[in-house]
Amino acid sequence: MEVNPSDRGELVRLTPFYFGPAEKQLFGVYYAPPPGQESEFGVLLCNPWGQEYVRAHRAQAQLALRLARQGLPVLRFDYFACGDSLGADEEGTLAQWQADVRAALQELKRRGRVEEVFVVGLRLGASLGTLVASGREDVAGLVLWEPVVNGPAYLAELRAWHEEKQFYFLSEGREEAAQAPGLSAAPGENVRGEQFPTELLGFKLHANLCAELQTLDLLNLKRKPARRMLVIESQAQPAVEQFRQQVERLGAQVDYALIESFKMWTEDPDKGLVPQPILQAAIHWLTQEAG
Amino acid sequence: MKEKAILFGKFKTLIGVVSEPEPGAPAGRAAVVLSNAGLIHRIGPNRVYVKLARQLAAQGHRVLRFDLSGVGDSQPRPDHLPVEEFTIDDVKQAMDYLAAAYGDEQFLLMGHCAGAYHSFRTAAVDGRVQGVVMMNPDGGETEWIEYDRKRKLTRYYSNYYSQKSLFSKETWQRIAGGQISYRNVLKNVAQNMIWNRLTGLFFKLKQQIKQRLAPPPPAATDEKLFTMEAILRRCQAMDGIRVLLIYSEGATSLERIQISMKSALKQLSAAGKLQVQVIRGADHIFSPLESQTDLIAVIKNWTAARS
Repeated sequence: MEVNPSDRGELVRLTPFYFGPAEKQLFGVYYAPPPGQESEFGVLLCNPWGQEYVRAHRAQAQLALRLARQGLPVLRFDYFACGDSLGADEEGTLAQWQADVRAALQELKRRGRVEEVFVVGLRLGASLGTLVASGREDVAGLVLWEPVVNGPAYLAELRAWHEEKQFYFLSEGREEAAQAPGLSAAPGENVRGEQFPTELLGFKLHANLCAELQTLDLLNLKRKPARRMLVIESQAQPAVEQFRQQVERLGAQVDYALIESFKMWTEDPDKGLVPQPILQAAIHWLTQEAG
Repeated sequence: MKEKAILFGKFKTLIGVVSEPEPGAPAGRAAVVLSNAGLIHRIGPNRVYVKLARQLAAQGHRVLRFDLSGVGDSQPRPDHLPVEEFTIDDVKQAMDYLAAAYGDEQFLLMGHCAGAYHSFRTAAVDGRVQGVVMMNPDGGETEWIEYDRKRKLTRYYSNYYSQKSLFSKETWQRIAGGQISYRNVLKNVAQNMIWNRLTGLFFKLKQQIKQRLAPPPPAATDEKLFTMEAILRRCQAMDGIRVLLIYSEGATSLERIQISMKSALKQLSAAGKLQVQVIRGADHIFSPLESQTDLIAVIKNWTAARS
């Protein structure tokens, strides 16, 4: 598909495709920049997870298109067991998704004919991008949009949202409906005997993923994830500030943008909301860095 | 499971995924096209379209889930057709693609919410369509939207007080510490629970009386299909298309047609043209995993019965 977004004749070509091993095929959309304007850097977008992913899709797609218009080859993709990629909900793990990010980096380098890539991650995608980038030489920089720094805090946040949402549709005064399995975030146990909800906001939260999330802590990072980083928040979080200080101690140069905005990953997708000031900040930073 | 990412359509702007029938599954089943649920991209609410597509493929159906123009990954059309026209044309192009690429001749169209309307409106003008699955087709006049809003608030506060607040240690600590706003609690109970419930009952009674005094008009072939009433009237006038109408438990849009189209619902069901199913414990987008399983089972049973 060729997209001619402006009267300047900037053609961006979109190619949907599957990549990766046959049993774990990942869905991706590659955005080829207008011919003759290709940058030597690519951009990989890393999605949030679950309900946040569904609601953020429109903004992620627009970000990809706008970056490609600026000459940056872009790859958006779905992790295994998410979106259009193969796999059922219960097969997704943080370890697998980090492997998926690595596979996507390779795919982008191959398709875009680039040696270095910027990784842009939103929410859990920012955490995955950071973990993968740490120790790699081919990640030129990171844009972390509302990164999930602490797994347990993230789970608690999603669980509160899940429980709140349930009150709108649990059958009124029907005991049997309230007790139906899976309907009320019925607690189960993970491998360490800890309590966890079995589903969150329409998506399965299985024991392995829950256990991984409970140990996720970006403050434990031992190597800088990239030389240059941009952290974007709409509301300053102490954990993000601690993370910023941590990666600066590790030698990263971190820019920070506090941009007041709605959190579109929690908004009704039918509103079609896209936080343009944040997209603009990310695009500006990336195009400056890509020179 | 074999899936293929495709870029198709007369402008090469539509993006979708084809789930191939599983090897060994029965051959000759109608192909399925899934249309977007509002602005949610082609994976559907809570990825339920992906699950549905894969299970229907295991039954022998080829399934295409795709993004309508300007939704998800599909770019807007360059011809600037109005939305009520391009949505039908996009779905027809999806069928054209499957016909050209795989030789499919018969189709089942499925969609959630707005996708339900796109599916039926296409079926009404394209003879290749055998059946339509409409999941939670919402909509209606302003007064019904207001009724729906109040119903949701009533349900929210009933559940909040009966299942959380009364059993929360924090609540009792706040009561003991004198930090509870009794005025807010009173407002929630009196207005959002009791008053909304009473006005809701009154509203429904008023609608029933209105309906008796002014029965629905007969089917008109040129009627615009933007409401469920118009769609059900068209169903009565059409032959050859079967409709599965699925609602979440407590959906006010089902209450509405049970009042406004009571006799049509009976007649269509008796003629085997329409099946209405209610999914228990579900919200509009089928968030509980169990409701997703139930939804898919209902659709699979319906398609199996028609194969």
